Amino acid sequence: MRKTRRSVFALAACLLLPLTGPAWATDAMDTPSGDVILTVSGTIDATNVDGTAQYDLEMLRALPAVSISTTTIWTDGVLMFTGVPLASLLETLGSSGSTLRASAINDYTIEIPIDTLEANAPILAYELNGAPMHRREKGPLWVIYPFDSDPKYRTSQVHSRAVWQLDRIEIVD
Amino acid sequence: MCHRVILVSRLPTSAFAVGTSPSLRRSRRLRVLGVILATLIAVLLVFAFVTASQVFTNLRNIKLLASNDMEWSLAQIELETRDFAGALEAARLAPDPDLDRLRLRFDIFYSRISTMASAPAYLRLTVVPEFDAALARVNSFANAAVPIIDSPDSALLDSLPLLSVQSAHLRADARAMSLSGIALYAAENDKARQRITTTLYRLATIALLLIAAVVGLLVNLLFANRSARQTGAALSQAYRRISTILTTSMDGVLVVDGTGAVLEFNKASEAIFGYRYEDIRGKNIQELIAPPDLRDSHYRAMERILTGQDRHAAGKGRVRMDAKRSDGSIFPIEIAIEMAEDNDERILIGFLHDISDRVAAEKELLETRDRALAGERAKAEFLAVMSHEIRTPLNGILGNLSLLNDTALSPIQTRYLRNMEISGRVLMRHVDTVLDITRFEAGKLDVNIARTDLSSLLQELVDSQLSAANRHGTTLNWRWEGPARAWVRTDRAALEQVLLNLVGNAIKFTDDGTITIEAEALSETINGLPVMELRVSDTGIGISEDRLPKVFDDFVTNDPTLGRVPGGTGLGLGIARRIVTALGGEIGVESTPAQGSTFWVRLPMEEGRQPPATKPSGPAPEITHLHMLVVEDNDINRELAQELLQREGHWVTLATDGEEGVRLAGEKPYDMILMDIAMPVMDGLQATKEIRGSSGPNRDTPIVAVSANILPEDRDRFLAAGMTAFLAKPISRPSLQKMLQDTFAGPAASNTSPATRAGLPRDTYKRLQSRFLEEGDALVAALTAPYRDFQNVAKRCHDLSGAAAIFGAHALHDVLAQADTAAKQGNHRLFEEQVAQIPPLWRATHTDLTAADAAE
Repeated sequence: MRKTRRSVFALAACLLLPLTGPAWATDAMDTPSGDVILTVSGTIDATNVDGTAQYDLEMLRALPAVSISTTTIWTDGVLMFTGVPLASLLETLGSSGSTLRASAINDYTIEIPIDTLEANAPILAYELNGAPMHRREKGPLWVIYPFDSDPKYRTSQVHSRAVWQLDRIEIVD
Repeated sequence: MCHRVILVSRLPTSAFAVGTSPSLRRSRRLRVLGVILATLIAVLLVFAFVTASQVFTNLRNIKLLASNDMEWSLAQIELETRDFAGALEAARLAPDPDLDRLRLRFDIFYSRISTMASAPAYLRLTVVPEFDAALARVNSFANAAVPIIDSPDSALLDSLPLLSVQSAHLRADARAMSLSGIALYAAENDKARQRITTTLYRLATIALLLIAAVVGLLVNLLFANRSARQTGAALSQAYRRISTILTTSMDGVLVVDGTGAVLEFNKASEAIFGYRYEDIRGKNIQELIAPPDLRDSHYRAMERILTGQDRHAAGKGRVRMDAKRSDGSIFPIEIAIEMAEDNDERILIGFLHDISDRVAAEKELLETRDRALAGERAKAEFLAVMSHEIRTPLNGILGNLSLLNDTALSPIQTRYLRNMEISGRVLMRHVDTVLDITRFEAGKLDVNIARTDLSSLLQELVDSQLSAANRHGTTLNWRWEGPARAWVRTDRAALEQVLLNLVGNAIKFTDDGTITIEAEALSETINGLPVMELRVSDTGIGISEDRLPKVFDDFVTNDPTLGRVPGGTGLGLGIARRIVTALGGEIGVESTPAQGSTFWVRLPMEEGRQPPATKPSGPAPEITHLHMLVVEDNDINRELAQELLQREGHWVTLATDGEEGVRLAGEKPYDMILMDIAMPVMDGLQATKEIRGSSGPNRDTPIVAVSANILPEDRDRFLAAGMTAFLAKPISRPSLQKMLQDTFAGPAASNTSPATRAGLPRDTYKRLQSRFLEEGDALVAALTAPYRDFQNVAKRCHDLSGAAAIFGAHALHDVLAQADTAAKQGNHRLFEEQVAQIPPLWRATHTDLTAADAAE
C-alpha cells in the first residue's frame, strides 16, 4: 500500500522533475554526513537515524529550493531567503500527521497545522542573501513566510510560526 | 321639475373635501417630522460606522502590539540573558566546562539582542532612556564577546573569567530593559484601551441616539398611520356623500376620458338616455348618445375641447345640442362641459338634462306668437287692401259726381247730387280713419317736427270748421289764454288732425252753443320741453261720468239712446289719443252732462323761432300747360284724371297699363308722368324703374305716384323705385296744384327766378321756357293785332299766367291773373287796363330770361 503510493509519488516526481535526482525518493534515506541541523520525528515514513529523519545542510540543499524576498518585523530591510518549502519536506518524509510541532534551539515551540502549509510557503530557509545563516543570525534554519506578499502573512499567528534557530520538527496526529 | 347643477369632481381625482382640513395639516407635519428623524438616523448611522471602524482599527492595533510578542520578547531577553550568564558561570566554575552549551546560549542571547537592536518594531523602545542605555551596554558586550566565543576552546577557557566579569551587569541590564519595556507597553496599552473606551462610549451614545431616533420614527409612523386612516375615512365619507349626490342628482352626470370612454354615468343619465351604467362603462360616449349624423361634429368638438382649442364649450356654461337615446330617438339636451385632470389624464365631465319639455313649450310659444303676429299682419293687410279697394271705386263715384255737377241739372237733381257727395265723403273719411288705425297699429306714425305757426293753424282750423258749426247754430272761435306763443316746433299735420277730431266732435254734439279753442303755454315741462295745452270746450250735451273713462277707447260712440247718432266710426278720439301719445303728450277730458265738455291736449313743444318777415305774396301761382302722361288701368279713374287735368289746362296722354306707359314715355318727352301703382301687365313701380333705367327722353321726368295706398312704408318703396312725388286718389285740384308747386316751384314757392329754376329738371325748364316765350310772343302779337279777339286774348292770358309764375315773372303774372279774372267777370274796362300793361312787361321778362340764359 505504502509502496504503491510512493511509486505514484516517484512516478509523478520523475515526470514533473526529470532532472532532479531520484535519491530522496528511495526508501533508504541518506544519513547526514555533516552537522545535523534538523531532526524530524513523529509519524513519518522515511527515517535515517533512530526512527527520525535527520538532515545536514547538504541534504536540505538537495531538496527543491524556493527563494523569498521579504522584510520581516525582526530585521532591517528586504532580505532574500532561500530554503525548502515545508510542504515539500514533509512530502519527502511521507508524513501522515495533521500537525507539525516546530521547536527552536531555545526550546521555543509552536504548532502548525499541516493543512495550512502551502506549496511554497512557508519555507525552511537555510540561506540569507545567498549565504548560510549563522546561529547568531537566527540560523541555521528559519521558518520564513512571504510576509510582504500578502497581509494574511502579517498576522500575529503567522509571526509566531516564523520560528528562527529551528532545529526540530515533530509530526503529530 | 327643477334641475340644479351640482359642482362635483370625479372621485378620487383630488383632495376635494379635505383640502386644508386639520387632519391633513397634521399628517403633513408628521411627514416633515418623519423626514427629519430619518435624516437624523442616517447621520447617526454614519457616525456609528465611523466610530465602529475606529474601534476596529484600535482593536487591530492592540492585536498588532500583541502579535509582536513584545512582552514575551522582553521576557525572553531577561530569560536568555540569564541562561547565557548561567551557562557562563557554570563553565567558569566547572572543571570540565561544556563550552558548546556556552556557545549555544551565547548565540541565542546574541540573536535576541541583535533583534532588539535592529528590528524596527523595537525602535520605539529606544526612546526610553533606561532601555536604550541598557540595550547599548548589553549590545556592546555581545559584540565584544563574539570573538571570544568564536575563539578556540583553550582561548575561550582562558577568557571565561574576563567574560564573567564583563557580563556582571548583564542580568541587571536585561532586567532593566525588560521592566522599562513592559512599563512602556503597559502605558501604550492603557492609552489604546483608553482610546477604545472613549470610542466605545461614543459608539454607545450614538447607539442610544439611534435607538431614540428609531423610537421617534416609530411613533411618527404610528401617528402618520393614524392620520392617514383619518384622512382615508374623511375621503371615503366625502366619496360616499358625493356618490349619493351623483346618484340622486336630477341632472345627468357623465364623465368620459380623453378617448370618449365612459367613466361615470349616474342614475339620472341612465333615466335620460335609457342605458345602464354597467352595460356602457368604458364604451365610447359618442357612439352611444350622439345622433348619427352629428357624430363627426361631436368628435371634432370633443377633440377641440381636449386640445384646448375650444374654450367655447368647456367651462363656458350650458350648451344646447341634440342627443340620442338608447332606442334611437333624438331629443334636445342642455349640457355643461368641464375639463379636468385626472392623474395627468384629461377627462371631460358633463352635466346635462333633457329639455324636450322646455323646447316643446318654447316652440309652442313661438308658434303661438307667430300665429298671433301673422293674424295681426293679415288684419292690417286686409284693412289696407280693403281700404284701397273701397277708395278706388269711391274715387270713381265722387269724381263722376263732381263732373255731373258741371252738367245742366234740375234743382232736385242738384240736391240729390249733393247728398250723394256728402255720403261719399263720409264714407271716404271712414276709410281714411281705418287706414289711420292700421297705420298706428303698425307703429308707422312718422312724426315730422317742424316750425309751425300755431296761431295760423288755429285760425285755419276755425275758418274751415266755421260753416259746419254754423249749421248747428253754434259759434266757433279760438284765443290765447295768457301770453301768446305762436311759433313752436311740432308736427303740424298731426296736431291739425287731433284738433280737427276734437272740434268735429264738439260740433257734432253741440247745438246752438259755443265752442272755444284755447291755447295756453304752461309753465311745466315734459322731457325738458315746455308744454302747450290746447283746450276744446263746448256747451254741448256732455258725457256722463261712467262713460268718461272710455271716450278715448276705439269704437266708442256717444250713447245712442240719446236719440242722436251723429255718425262716426268711434275711432276719432282713439286716433287722437294715439297721435298725442306718439308726440309724447297726453289727452284728457272733463265733462258735465248737459253742460258741456272740455277736451284738453298737452304736448311738449319746443319754442319756435319766427321766420324773418317776408313780403307777403299772393296765393301761389297755378302751374298749367304741362304735357302729362297719365298711366292708369282703371277706365273711370283714367277718364277722371284726364278730365281734371285738361280742365286745369294741361295736355294729357293716356296709357292703360305700365307697359304702354313705358312705351309712350320712350317716344316723346313729357313734363310729368302720373303713374298708378297697382296695374295689370306691369305695375307702376316696375314701369318707373324701366323709364328711369332707359335712355329715353323721360329718364329724368318727374314721375308721380298716384295711389289710394298711402301707408307710410309705401312712400319709401315708391322713392326707391325712382318716383319723385305722391298724389293721393282721388285727385283733387288743390292736391294736384300743391304737388305741382312742390315738384316744380319747390316747397317754399320762392319769388326768385334761380330758385324757381332750381326746382325743375334742366331740359324740362328749357322746354317750358321756350314754350313760355312762344306763348308770350303769341299773346303780345294777339294784343297788337288789328282785330283783337277778346276770348282768344282772355284764354291766352289765363294760360300764360301759370307759366309766368314758374319763371318768376311776378309782375306779369299779377297782370295776367287780374286780366283773366276781369275777363271772367266780364269787366271789359278792367281787362283793357290790365292787357295794356302786358307788352312792356313781356319785353322786360323776355329780356330777363334770355339774359339769364346767356349768363349761364
